[in-house]
Amino acid sequence: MNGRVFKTIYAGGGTPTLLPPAFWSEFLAGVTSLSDTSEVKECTIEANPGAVTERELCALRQAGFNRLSIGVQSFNDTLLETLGRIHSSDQAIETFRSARKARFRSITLDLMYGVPGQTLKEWISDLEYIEELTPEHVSCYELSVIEGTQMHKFINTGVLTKPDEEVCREMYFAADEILTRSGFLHYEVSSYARGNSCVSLHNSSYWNRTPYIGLGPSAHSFDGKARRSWNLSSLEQYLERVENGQSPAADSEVITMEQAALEMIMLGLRCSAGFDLKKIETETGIRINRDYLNTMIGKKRVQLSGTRLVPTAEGMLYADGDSVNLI
Amino acid sequence: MRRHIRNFCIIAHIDHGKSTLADRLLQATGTVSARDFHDLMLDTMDIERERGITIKSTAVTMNYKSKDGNEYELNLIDTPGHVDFAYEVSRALASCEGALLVIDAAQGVEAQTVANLYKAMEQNLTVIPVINKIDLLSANILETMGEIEGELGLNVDDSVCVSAKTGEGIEELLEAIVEKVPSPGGKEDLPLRARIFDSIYDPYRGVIVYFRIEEGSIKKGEGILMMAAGKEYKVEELGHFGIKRQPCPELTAGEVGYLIAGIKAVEDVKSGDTVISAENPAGKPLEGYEEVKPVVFSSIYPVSSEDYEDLSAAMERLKLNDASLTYEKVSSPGLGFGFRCGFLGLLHLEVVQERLEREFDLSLVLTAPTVKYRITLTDGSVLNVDNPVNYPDPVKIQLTEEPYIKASIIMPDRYIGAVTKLILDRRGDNYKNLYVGKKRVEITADLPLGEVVYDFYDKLKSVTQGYGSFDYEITDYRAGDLVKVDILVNHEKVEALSMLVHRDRARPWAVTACKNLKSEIHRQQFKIPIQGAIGGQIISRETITALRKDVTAKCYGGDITRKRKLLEKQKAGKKRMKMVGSVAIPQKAFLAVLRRED
Ligand SMILES: Nc1nc2c(ncn2[C@@H]2O[C@H](COP(=O)(O)OP(=O)(O)OP(=O)(O)O)[C@@H](O)[C@H]2O)c(=O)[nH]1
Ligand SMILES: [Mg+2]
Repeated sequence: MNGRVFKTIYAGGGTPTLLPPAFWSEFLAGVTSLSDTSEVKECTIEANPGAVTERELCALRQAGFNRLSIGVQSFNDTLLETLGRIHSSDQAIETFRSARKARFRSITLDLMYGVPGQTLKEWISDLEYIEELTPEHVSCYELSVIEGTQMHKFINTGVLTKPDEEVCREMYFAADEILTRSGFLHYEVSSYARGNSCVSLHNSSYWNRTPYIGLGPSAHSFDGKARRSWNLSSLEQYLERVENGQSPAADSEVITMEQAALEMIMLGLRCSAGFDLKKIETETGIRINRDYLNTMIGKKRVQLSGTRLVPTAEGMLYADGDSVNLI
Repeated sequence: MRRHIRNFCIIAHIDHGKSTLADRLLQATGTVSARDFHDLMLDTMDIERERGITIKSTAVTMNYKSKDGNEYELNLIDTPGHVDFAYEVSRALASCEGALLVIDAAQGVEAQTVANLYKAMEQNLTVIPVINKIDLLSANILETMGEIEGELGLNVDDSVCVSAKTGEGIEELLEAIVEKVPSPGGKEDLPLRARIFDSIYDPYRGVIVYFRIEEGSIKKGEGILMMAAGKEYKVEELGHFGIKRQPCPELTAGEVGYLIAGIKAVEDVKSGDTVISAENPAGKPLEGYEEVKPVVFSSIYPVSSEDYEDLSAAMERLKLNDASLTYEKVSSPGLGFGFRCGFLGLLHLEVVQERLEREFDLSLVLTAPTVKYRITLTDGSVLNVDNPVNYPDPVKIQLTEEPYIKASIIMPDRYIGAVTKLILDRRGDNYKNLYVGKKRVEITADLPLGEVVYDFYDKLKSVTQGYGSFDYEITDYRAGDLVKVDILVNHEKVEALSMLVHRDRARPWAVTACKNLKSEIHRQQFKIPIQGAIGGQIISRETITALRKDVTAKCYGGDITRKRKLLEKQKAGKKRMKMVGSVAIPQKAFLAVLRRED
């Protein structure tokens, strides 16, 4: 951390608001004392609906956070229950209003589609409600069912049924259409910003290979070139290392040029900014498969403007498979 | 001084404890030190260890000081028990004067016990029945003795009771070997004649030849001649098989050993060929081995066509170490260049595929295995068809005949019902059953070989809870109403998946094949119809729906590494798929078509 220049800070991946605002105030002060935060434009903290009061939000704003990410998930209480969330949609709206009162000018809401039991209509009504709330940013995530979870078990045993792939596609395009119509930019598979100034700088840095440092168990760091490392996942071990002045890194990898190319293409195909074909080829020495590229263009998944390859909304849906085929 | 030599092999039904018994003999004779010992010393191949079965015969020389005061050289050959490797057994028998016929006291006499005994008797070997696993609670020694006399017609007085697990009875067995197995009766003064029974390829030293000397002797530095190839070499090294190779200056008649002679040309060495002296050549070769008769045929192609040359070299080298493999070059418009191969059974096929992939680092596709059909055309000419690709136009066929076997199944009588049903399901005919013990029955029946090769043995094991044993011999050809079923993937006929099937079975077969393929072929970005067809007529159909998206919703921080690794794995997986038209078909799919539903 020492002497580094940071441009964004993000507190999340868990429930950061379980810690009191005073902690975060001290934390941010600590970061500022160790490194250069004079250029920080975006400083985000995640909060769950109903889990923070207006007072706390004010205190967090005071501490230095200027952007709030609210894990709304859905405005439908039945679906919230399916998702195992303890909050209600009213609480989500309440938290949003409190955040505004606490003078958060930049708010992002997380929404979920493809939830068992969810219909296209219900999803559309969630999206329409976004238009009313007018947040600066929305993330629309399709529910991914992770093996080993309760949800996975329920779906496997037929207790719950996830909307099928075709319906999920429709939901994706419904978000694209409705949010774009109300002025959002669909700038990444799951991300929508109310104009260029609302694009998440922090998230974008993951996608354009900006270096970052991750703090806390399991957090990942990247040096912006080829080295990725990750911290121990056990909290006890993590603390022990840090308290003894040792690095909490569990392991690291130095990626090859080919791996770097795969990452750049895989991430580029997720983002409306796309990627520069020539730049990747000269930087990594990897040649991109032109034949496959042409079939992608033919299928209207990407457009070529100059040497830049830009995915369409349809194209973003195939970012994973296509990136494998392009190398 | 003349050496005292005993050459014997260990034969038995599968899993009766041959290799475990060999372990005990190696320890009792001090051939392996306590430090170097591990279980199943002679099962050295990875596949043998993983599957827990012996695949290759392995020879080893032991020294034993008998109670009679003499020092003996014991040459042991451990053999496989599975039917598919019977050729390994018959070659081992030809190198020995005696055989230990191991019988699991808890299982009694089983199908390969009988089959292997007959083979040993045909070669005039002295057979010592060895009743094994007497440590087991379920061991029934008396009943087993009864079967040895009744079913096998051997003298129980010659038998030895052992536990290969605890080592009980091993000393007694060693004494019995020395006493009962005849000495090879050396004809050392004749010109050299040695029979090659196996060989391996060593990248540094060339072919290492395994042989038994019938007459004469070989010395280091001497010139030798491989009779069949007519090629002369100079012996660089020769020796006995210990746990490692043990070089020695000379081997004489009756002994088993190896030689190294800088042989780089793999084709010069053939199992069954005779090695003679270059200086003092014997006139006639020894009798070779009976020719292998492959029963299952399949083509092997490299997944990537560029690997054909590597596959070709690998086949030659594998053939050195697997005399039962037969092959010839083929080419197919869809799959490129490859080899049409004959195997002794499906396990043999799997082992060959695995060895090629592991030992030679190749990625392969095998086509649906089939038997050899005899087809008489309307013009009277007769074709042997072991590849569905060569199946003639049905209108020109007058008669199709398929190979039949006589199956012998031995099991406890409580499974008669289940086994009878299985036999009838497989178009069995001429069914008979006969009590061979108190509660043990032998069922014999005629079955089409084509119904048996794929999974009959596994099914038999499962319906008899492991107690059924099976042996067969091919008897004749009989008329059969066969049709060729083609499989079309994305409207393209995939030759490698075509099969000749009995007409009544064609539809269910095609339905199952399409289902199996559907579960093996990954979804792709377009819809893939899979169809079964006879001629132009579609008889079954499945559709693999198009992948309509593949992206994951979130990709922050650590997700990037995880995602990249996943994509790399996908990419590696693709290299193991064969492109047929625009569809990537995983290797596994080619065999999956044969999986039957119960
Ligand atoms: N209890 C007991 N188990 C034994 C004895 N001998 C062998 N076994 C077990 O029987 C199983 C088969 O033994 P193997 O020695 O591999 O049998 P095999 O005859 O060489 O088998 P194949 O080579 O595949 O035909 C193993 O699990 C052995 O541990 C014995 O004397 N007593
Ligand atoms: Mg064995």
